[in-house]
Amino acid sequence: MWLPLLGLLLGVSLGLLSDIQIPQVYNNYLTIAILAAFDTLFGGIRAYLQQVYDDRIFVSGFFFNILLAAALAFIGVHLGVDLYLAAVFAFGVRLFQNIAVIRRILLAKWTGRNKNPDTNV
Amino acid sequence: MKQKTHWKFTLILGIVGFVLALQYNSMNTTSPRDTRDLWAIRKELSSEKKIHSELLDEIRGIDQTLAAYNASPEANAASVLQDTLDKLYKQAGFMPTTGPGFVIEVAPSPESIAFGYEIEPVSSELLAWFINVVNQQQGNELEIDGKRFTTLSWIREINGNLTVSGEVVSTPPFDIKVVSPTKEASEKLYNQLLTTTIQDEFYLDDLILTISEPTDRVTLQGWTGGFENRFLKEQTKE
Repeated sequence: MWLPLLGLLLGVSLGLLSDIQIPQVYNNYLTIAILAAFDTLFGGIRAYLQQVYDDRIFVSGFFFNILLAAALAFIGVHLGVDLYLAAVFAFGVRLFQNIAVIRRILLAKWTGRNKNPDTNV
Repeated sequence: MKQKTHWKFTLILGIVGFVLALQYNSMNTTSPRDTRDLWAIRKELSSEKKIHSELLDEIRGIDQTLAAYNASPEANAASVLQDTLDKLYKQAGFMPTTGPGFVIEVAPSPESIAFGYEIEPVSSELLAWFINVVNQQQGNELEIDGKRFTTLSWIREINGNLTVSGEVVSTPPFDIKVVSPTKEASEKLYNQLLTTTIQDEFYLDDLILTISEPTDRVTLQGWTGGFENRFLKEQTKE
């Protein structure tokens, strides 16, 4: 539980300390990459909680989603169509759905534990 | 197996955190990059030093006035006060000023007269540009067609007439007088006016500028129009 959080903290501090700045032109790509990363991450957590988690799907999904989103944004820029909005929409909707499912599972677990304090779930 | 999953989550979360921090860094670039080279910085420094020295001069002047107030007995205080008042009036352009300077005659070009073009008043933009050229050097004082140009003066076109602080400037020919703090400053301004494109700009409007050689004594009239005081208030005696 604590190890992933430590990883997040490590990543954030590394990024802040490195003082790297992405040029304004590539900001769209970065934004969408972050959204894709969040989507995969919450998808992974959901799958883990539903006990259908698969390592390969999670890791490949993470990188593939990011690349797909960035590619979509790239094509959109060159076609003059804001295609990245499509990615933002798709990821945004999925993100909310995943979070909602995670919340429900956690709530169900919590209420189950309160009903049967002896059982270890 | 579970341990392995944790490590993968850790790695992915690390990447997410890193990218988030990059985005944060990129969004918080409030200060633009300083792209000045050494000479640009030196130039800026020199202008700052100039301001510094001017401020010091001003402080010294005020200190002297203050010392004169303190040193003089009651009877003499009135005359010191009067001196200060005169100085302020002079600074504001309310008193006639005499000093080194030159006279510029603005006249229609011979060609426009020969072709019989209608002589039009100088445009306000052109006159404002001319004033900006003169004001590039500090301490110069101006009189346009007998109207003293002070720091509070304004130039506007009203019903096709050029006005300085509301007073109509006559159609060319008319004179512009410039007084500088020193003879050197006057010569410098004279040379600057000869080298800038201001004469060409006037010529485009069928006007020629005849700039006379700098002399030791040019007298400007004081501004007689009064001024609107919005902010200063009389201090009551305590």
